[in-house]
Amino acid sequence: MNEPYDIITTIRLTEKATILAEKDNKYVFQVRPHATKTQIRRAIETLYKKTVVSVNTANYAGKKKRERTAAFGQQADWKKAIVTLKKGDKIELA
Amino acid sequence: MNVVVENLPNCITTLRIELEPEKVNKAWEAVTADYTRYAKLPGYRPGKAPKAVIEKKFKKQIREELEKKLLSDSCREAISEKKLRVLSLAQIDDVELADDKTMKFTATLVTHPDFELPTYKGLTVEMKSTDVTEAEIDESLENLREQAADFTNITEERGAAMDDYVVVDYTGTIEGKPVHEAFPKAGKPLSGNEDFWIRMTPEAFFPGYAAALVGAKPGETRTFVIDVPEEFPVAGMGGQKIQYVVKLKEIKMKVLPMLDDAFADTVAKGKTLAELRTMAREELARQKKTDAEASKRSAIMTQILEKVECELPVDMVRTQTRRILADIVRENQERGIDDEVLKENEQQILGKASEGAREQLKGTFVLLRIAEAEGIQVTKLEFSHRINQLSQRYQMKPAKLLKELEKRNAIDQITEEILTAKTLEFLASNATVADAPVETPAAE
Repeated sequence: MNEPYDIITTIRLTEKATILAEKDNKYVFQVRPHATKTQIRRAIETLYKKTVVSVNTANYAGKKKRERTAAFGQQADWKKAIVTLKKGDKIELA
Repeated sequence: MNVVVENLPNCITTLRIELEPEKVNKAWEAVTADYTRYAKLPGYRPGKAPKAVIEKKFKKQIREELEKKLLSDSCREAISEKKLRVLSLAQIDDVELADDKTMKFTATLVTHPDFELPTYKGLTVEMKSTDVTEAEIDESLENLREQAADFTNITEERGAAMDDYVVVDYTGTIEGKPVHEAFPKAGKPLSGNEDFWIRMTPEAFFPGYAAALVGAKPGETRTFVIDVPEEFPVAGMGGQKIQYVVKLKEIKMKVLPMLDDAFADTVAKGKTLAELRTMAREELARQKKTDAEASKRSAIMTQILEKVECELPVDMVRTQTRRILADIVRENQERGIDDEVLKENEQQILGKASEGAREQLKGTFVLLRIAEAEGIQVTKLEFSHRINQLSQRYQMKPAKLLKELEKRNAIDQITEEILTAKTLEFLASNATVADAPVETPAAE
């Protein structure tokens, strides 16, 4: 469960993430909600072979969703990780 | 741009074109920029997605767009650079877009045939005289009389004679069966008819048919047997014996109107015979002039085409042959010739059509080359004039016709038609005319 590919769900490709990457060399990932900063750092360093300077995280509660019927549902909770890389290191977005 | 031209047989040319990376890159950037502006991607507002993301997401589409844009453009450029006379772009294949953005592809073109233009100015052609003789006028008036002929029942008491016209009811049987039942392909008129007009000539209907009726009086019924000639077109019928029971109803003779002012008045209201003669003379003169002009043009073409030897694009020959073949078949069907007969002569008709197609195409190519050499061009006025003519013929509004033609890609064809006609006109005006000997017609 603690393999790198279990920790990192996906890289977030959004306008905000693009700007962060271009300006501050920070990359935004969607990660497993229970992953720790240390696990995330190790995962990024193994997967992308880059040096991580710092990891900031934030938890997001899944949105409540309902169909027109009364059946309620919820999207999964997720965690966002903003990873700052060492100056000069780059990850290819896209 | 690096272009390698290779000429293949049958007017096919291949171009191996290699484009420089700068050019491809520029086009690539332009296409990507277009996508960046309008593409909607989750996480980005339209126009805000980075180039790398767009390129990855729309790689296939961008490549297709780029090919569409570059291939036809660079083909056109290569054609004008190499000064090729192109009929159509057959296909583009082997498209390679390398990572360093060099692009290679092969274009296959159908080109105009290559040949040396023979001398086409100052040709001498023989032309029939366009003078109208009195005998010809007499003949044309005689034809008018024939057309206005009246058929009246004979007054004297006599039987039918050769050259009379007889009206008969008849039935034809082979061994007791109606002819069309014994031979389904024979056609019903062989089995029987009512109020049928026959001119009493030895060959009328079947050889011997009229002879068997000689001496018969109105109301008389005659029974006789006819031997079907061996060369009769319906298979198996040659040599058969048909028994005909013929009831002669009327004997008629042809009465030609008198050639006088009254007759002239019936032909053209209010004209006298003298005026009718003048009209006939004018009409004949006009006809002869048109014929002479046409034969002059065809003589010029024959002279030029004799000196030109070239290969022709196979596809075009095939299409043209098909067109001519369809015309021949339609013409024959209109003349009432059975499909069976056409099928039997298939090879001969096909050969004729294919030869005709080759001649026509060769003629067109030669005329286009001459037009090019002489700088003959189609003006806008001539084009719109032609469109007007066509719109009257097809009873369509010119704008609608133009749209229809554009849809069918026929605009070029019409321009080509005008151009060839104009070139032929030019050749005719540059040719010297020699009077043809009276007996031999001008070269066809």
